[in-house]
Amino acid sequence: MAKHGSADVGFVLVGGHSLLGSKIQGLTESVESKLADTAGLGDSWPESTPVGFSDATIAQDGAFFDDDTGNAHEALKTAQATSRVMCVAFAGNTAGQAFVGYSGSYSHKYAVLAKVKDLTKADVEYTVSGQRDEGVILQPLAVKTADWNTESSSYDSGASSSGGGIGFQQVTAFSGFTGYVGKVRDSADDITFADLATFANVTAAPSAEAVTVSGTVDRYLAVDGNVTGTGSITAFIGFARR
Amino acid sequence: MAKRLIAVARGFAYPVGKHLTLVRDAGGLSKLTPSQRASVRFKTVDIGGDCSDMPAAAVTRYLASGDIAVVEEGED
Repeated sequence: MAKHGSADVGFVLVGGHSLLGSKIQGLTESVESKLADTAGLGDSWPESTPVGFSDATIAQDGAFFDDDTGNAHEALKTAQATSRVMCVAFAGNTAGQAFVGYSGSYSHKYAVLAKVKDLTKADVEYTVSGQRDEGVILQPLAVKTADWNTESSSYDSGASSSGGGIGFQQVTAFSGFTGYVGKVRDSADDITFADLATFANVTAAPSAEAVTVSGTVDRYLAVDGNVTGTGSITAFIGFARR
Repeated sequence: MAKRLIAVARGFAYPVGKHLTLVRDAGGLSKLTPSQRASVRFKTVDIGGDCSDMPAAAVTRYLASGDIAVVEEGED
């Protein structure tokens, strides 16, 4: 596995907001598997057994406090009880690279940090409700001005899987178009692709959605983006097998 | 009575004609050169659309899964 540095963080997307522009100084993502203490009478050493329950938390610190439309403050200042779709790429904003997706994250703690002779900053802690998924970037966060698809550069997963999966889409900018529908497609033979997960029609940004699918997910994955009218969007799509 | 294939559960995208020949002969899209890949055009079929020209190998698979169905001409 390759080593990655801070420059490789490709995106931090929360509910359709791109937070990298706020110059986040640190991002901590932790996953914890709950263990039960199963030591009993007669045991002379501790004993722990996994209970099959995990939880994840995310914390970001040192981001600039930025209250421009579409920036971090707008995303996080209110509605801390609102569930948000969150996607983070630690290894670059590139097709085929890994990302981590959370279908339900709550910014339960948002702290604005004002300091003399310094720019005001803000820290955020997220609690994840629901599953954490590790997936692959199929459409890097990028500007699109017309219909597109990635079938001709599909992602080869190496094999199909039978446990379903979850597709993530984030739209951080939207102008001109009257609609945009993104899809994840799969294929068994890298020739014929079928719709696997279809996201709801997007008519404004910021927008984010996670769509779960069940059953077989074929080996090859691609995305399809259909826009209506003329304009510009900035969109990301990824998929995680389960 | 003529029969047609209709997409009933999923939409599809696949190359047809010379594009299909190119991809099939290469063994898949990923086996093509970048310039060849860029030249491949896909036919898109939405749910309810006619997919009678779907590649044969895929027809077998998607008929079995119920994603496409055979209809008699004039039946749908």
